[in-house]
Amino acid sequence: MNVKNIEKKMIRHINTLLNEGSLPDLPDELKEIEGFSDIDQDIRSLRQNINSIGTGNLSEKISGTGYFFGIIKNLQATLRNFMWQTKAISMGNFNYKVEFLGEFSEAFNVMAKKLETTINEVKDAQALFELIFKTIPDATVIMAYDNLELFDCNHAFTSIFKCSKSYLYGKYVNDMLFPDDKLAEEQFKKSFECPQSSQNLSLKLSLINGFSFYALFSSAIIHIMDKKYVLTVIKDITEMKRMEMEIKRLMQIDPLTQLYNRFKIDDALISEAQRTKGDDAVFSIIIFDIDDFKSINDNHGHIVGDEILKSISQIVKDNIRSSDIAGRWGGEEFIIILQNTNSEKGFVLAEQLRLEIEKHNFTQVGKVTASFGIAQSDATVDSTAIVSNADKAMYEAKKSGKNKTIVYNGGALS
Amino acid sequence: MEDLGRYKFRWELIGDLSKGRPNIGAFTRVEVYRLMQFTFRDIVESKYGTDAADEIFYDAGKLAGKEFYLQYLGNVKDFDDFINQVQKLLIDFGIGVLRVENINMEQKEITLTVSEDLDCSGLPENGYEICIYDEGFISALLESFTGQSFKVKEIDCWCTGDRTCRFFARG
Repeated sequence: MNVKNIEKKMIRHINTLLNEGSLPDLPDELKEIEGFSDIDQDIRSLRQNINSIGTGNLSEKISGTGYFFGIIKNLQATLRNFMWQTKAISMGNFNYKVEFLGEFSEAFNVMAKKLETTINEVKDAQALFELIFKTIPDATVIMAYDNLELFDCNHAFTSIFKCSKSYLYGKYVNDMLFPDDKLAEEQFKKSFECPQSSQNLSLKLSLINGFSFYALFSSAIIHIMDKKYVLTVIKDITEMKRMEMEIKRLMQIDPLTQLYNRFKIDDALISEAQRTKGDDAVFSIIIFDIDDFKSINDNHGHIVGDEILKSISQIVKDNIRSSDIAGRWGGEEFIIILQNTNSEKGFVLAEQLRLEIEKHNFTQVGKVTASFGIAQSDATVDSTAIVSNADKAMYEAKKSGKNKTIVYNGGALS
Repeated sequence: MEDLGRYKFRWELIGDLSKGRPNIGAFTRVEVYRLMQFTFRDIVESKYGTDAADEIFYDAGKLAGKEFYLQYLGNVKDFDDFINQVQKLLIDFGIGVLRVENINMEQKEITLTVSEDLDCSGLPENGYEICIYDEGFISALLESFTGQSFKVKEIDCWCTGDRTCRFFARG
């Protein structure tokens, strides 16, 4: 083989080593050329090393010396350092910087700084949320949307159950809050599923631990890591409810006699009329007025008069049935609504009251009497008419000598 | 007065450079450093042999590392801070570019690289690692910080055909 052919073969072989995907064997005739086997081996090693680095293998030992091997080793060292820095960052360690890698250093360090800033912002936001969540005075709970299993809750929530948060994990909030009240549970679910209809839900809770209280629920659906949760704030409104009920009671009660006032009696009359309308049921009304009350006030003063009103109210309370509704109709006039009671039975009760008043010894005054009128509901069930009829009967009792009970009986008085 | 020995190291031996070199400053060229090191190494080797020369250089590097730590790294918060401070100091003093490749403190194994190394970068390839002084120096830095003994071995060097010196430290 002449020199020209050998040169051509050498060039072809090196070209194949450098540019082709498959590796050719070193031809025997080229092995004999001094130093060519070393060049062949170096190129093969370089290919292997570049391929390893290119596929992310940074642990392979690069053997060989010279400029190209040095460059590849340097690249491998740089990538190893970069890999370590990336691992450090992934563990939240932003203390290192990539140096002396030109534009790459700058880009990487800017990215790392941005990432650090973002993580710190997220941490700050998380810390702020946790602070608010922990310190919010109302019981606050986050539960899984699909099964209402507890996800997280604050101290105020655990205080309700008097246990630790870890004890509550894995429990279903609906079972804890509404153990025997399916209706309340349904109302609660509706409150966050249809937030427009009832954003604030007020319920009386009887908890699994036996504790009960009035609660105001405010719920919203939230998303954490693409999962749906329900955030609920439960405000204990027991005291507010108690005050509300007290205000309601005070609005219905005559402060002097502690009987119902005119406002409540009007309401009760309408309700009773509606209840018995179109039905066979009847109700009766007793109206009675203290006889000569004006002269008592004039002779003994209003304080004594007030005491008589209170004493008579007590006699009424002591003698009526639990279903009867008694109230102060105005001045010294009283009214009693007798549910499911006809005028005959009403007469018996009225007489009983009249006799109790008559025999009672009132301080400073002695004897006091009252005149009673009774009326029974008719087919029209007009509450105003019934009251008017009872009133007429009561005035008839007054006119005919006082301390009497008169029954209004379809236009007649008896 | 205690006899410290004529050459017992103390920072006063470095001298007041601002006073002593007001015009040409505290820096000299790398050639001068290497000239002193390799002539010194030559004489030590010729008198005591290669192994003894290597041991002397390792121990000298270790003494230098210990003193360097005390002089410049007195207030280190944690390992990250330690590495960061060493990196900055090595660059500021023109010693080299330190990078970390791996740290496994549970196994007490650390792999570090030093590029553009003061001792060897640019030297001819001779087939053996030459940064023995650096080995001792790094070993003393790690020992001073951790309080534990570290053995450091150079596993790749410019002189073995690499473009960066790689040191493997094991506690």
